[in-house]
Amino acid sequence: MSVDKPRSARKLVDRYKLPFPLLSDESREVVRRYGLVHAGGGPDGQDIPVPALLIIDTDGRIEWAHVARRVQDRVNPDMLLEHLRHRAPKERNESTVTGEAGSGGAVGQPPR
Amino acid sequence: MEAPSPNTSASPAAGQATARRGLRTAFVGLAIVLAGPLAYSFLLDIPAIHRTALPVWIASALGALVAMRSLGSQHRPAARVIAGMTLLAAVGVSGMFMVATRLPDVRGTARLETGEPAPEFTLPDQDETPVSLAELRKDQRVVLVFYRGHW
Repeated sequence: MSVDKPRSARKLVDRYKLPFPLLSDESREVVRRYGLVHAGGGPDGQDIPVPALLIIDTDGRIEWAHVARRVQDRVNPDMLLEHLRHRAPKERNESTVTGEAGSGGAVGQPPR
Repeated sequence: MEAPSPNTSASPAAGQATARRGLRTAFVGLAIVLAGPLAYSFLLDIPAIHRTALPVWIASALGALVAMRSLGSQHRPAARVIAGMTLLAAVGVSGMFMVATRLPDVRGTARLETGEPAPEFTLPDQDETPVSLAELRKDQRVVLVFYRGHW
């Protein structure tokens, strides 16, 4: 999820062949609701999100969260996959999520 | 480079050569420091480089070392000035990087405690199709990534 327009999200999906959706929060409402606003952090001084990664379980509860302290902080994709594998979901169907996270480039190579 | 010998340093020609070498060393140090951010910007696509900004730290440290070395021996003032500038640049570049990459501390605002409910939302995806968190997490866990955007 970013505050980019769907059009630029489309470009990223095409370029990196992403198998998951890129959501667009242009109004910053969701970013604000999650408390992840980096005021004036964008290249033109616009508000953008603080990089963060959350695992949300099937009950809609936060299972795990990582919030970056520096611009370049990112979750190690191997650690993420490890976590997803070892903390099996309470219910069915883990494989889809793991597959998504593993095959895409968005976790390993965030645009910025 | 000529072999160092205790006798030659007394002659003016050898002294000049040493001074020239000192100046050259000082410039090399400065170039190394400035090459750090340049290398970083070229290597941004490598995740490990992007994450750690390693070229900046290595180049700053290396350049500063070279500058210290050229300050240590006797040289003409120009070399000292360059070496001083190099040290300032090394501190400045790495300091700027530390400040520029710092993000606001959102611990106060982010309600991301484990076990707490994640705020529900519906947002358009890349094709303007509305996607809701409730729909995504219905049968499987969801990895939700907030990223700074593409520019």
